[in-house]
Amino acid sequence: MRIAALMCALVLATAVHAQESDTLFDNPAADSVAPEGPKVDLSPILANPKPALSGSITMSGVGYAGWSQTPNPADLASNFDKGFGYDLSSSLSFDYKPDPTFHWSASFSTAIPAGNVTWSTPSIGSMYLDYTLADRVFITLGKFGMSWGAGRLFGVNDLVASAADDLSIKAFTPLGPLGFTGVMILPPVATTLAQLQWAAQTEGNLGPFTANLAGWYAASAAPKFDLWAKTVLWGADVFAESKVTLAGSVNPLSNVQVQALAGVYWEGFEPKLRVQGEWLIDSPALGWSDQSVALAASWSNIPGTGIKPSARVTHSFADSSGQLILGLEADPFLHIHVTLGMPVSWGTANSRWVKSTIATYHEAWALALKIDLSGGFSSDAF
Amino acid sequence: MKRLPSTLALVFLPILAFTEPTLAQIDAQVSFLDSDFSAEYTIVKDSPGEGQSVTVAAMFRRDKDNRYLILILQPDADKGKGYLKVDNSLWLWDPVARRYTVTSARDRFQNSSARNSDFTRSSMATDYRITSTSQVKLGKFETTVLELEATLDTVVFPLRKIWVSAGDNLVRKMEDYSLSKQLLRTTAIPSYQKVGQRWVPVSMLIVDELRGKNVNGQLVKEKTQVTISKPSLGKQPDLLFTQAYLEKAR
Repeated sequence: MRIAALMCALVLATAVHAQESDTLFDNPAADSVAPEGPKVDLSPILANPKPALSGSITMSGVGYAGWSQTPNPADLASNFDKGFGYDLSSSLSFDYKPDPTFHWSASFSTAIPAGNVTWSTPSIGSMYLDYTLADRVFITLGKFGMSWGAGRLFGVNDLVASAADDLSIKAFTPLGPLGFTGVMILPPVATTLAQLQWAAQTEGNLGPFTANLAGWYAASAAPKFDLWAKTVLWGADVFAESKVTLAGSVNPLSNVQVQALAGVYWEGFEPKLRVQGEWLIDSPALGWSDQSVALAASWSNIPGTGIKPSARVTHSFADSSGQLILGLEADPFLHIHVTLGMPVSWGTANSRWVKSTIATYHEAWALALKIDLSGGFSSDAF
Repeated sequence: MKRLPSTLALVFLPILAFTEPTLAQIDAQVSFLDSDFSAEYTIVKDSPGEGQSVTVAAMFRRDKDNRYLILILQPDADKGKGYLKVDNSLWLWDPVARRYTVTSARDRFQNSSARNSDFTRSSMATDYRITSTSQVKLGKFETTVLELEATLDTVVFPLRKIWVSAGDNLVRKMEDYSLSKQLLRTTAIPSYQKVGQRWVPVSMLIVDELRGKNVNGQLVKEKTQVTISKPSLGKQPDLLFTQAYLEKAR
């Protein structure tokens, strides 16, 4: 039936080339009653009777040069540093969807980190199953990642970020115009019911706005709530979000900590240009003066070059520190991926973003070149 | 006396046939407010000098809630991509990047001449007002031509001209214009198929008046042919019209 429709469409599309569209009305097929026949079948994309296996291996080498502290223009040799590193990693993934209601997925990885000569003990990146109960509830259980909250650059409002390392059970069901998600998280050390973490969120549309309310609770920690609303303005995704932590030890309401976040995301053009901006205000640490802004942009390809540029700048007004990361990526040869990165930070030695840059990149200012040699396979033929 | 009704019918039929349809009547003919609607859409884009590309998509509409879900079945490179419309929000799901992009009703569907707005329920009664009417013969059809002007800023095409066939209130041809009255695209729907009490096109041809190439000194315009098969009014689960469902399709 699909082949027949395809052939019909191809023939029609070709036939009308030589005609003006009005000639289609000279002798059209009569209006008809749609025939009873097969319905749309989604099983080709919701199920695959053959288990799928994929794997990859990557050898990475990094060379870098930079300053371990913010450089002093008068003494550039001071704190100058350079080095070389490597690692070898491999991963294996398994995916099985025997029918549209059941899905089993797992991924394993191992690596020889820099400075070592032996493979690490293979770890489970994810291992979960999805089950659709009576076409009404999606259930996921196992080790899997989730991402809640509207912000992406600061990543401060994701109430279930820890679930990626834990065992979780998630259930989702729509109820009228709203969608409800409930999550139970079992941390690795949990031995009693009191150590379980619980989270829930509901999402719905209010006119032009999408709104989401989420909550997180554990007996031994301060409960958290997150509320965000999102809309589209001039083609850009715009959101405002607020997270509240009830941190009072005896009376939770005696210590209410608030974080507010607002942001914009836009993508357009071909090749795709993506721009994101976020503003964060954090009350608990330094009062309402603790504000930060972040701006990121990336381009999927500089036309004619195959090079993908990106830039991200973050600045904290609380201690006047910040970080700029410039990046260029390309695949110059088969299996070879090259990344050129330049992290630059500013502020005092103990400021937030100088410390963060050194912790992540080992340098306050650096130029780094990373070359990945990788290959893999993907097969559903076993 | 027995002959009177048929005599009256003969007298009034031509008048009734040319009664100008209202936009609400036109919308009602192609809207499924009492049931869900699903079908398979085969979209053939013919770009001059570039050849043909074929996209097959599964379409699920719940017109009463102003929702639709479209899942791409072919080509393999786009398999599992999906569009979800809920009220005025429209998301595009990329299964490879595993991320949503907010998209617009104005955007082209899979870079074809079809717009995302072409797949939603017809809402001309709320989007447009009639500025003029005339009677025109379009091939074998007696049609009323309605010239429309958008009443909302959010409408994809500010000006539109539609040819509505007499007796059945079905749009047979449509021309979409910019505010400066430049013709942007022409859509021809020569035949419909009846599904329950409503109608959907058997196929429609969309001619992009702005995209094309000079071939042998002549401008050949880009065309998109949309063919609709496997229509059904069967009820779909509520889960289908959610982001969670799109994320499941990989």
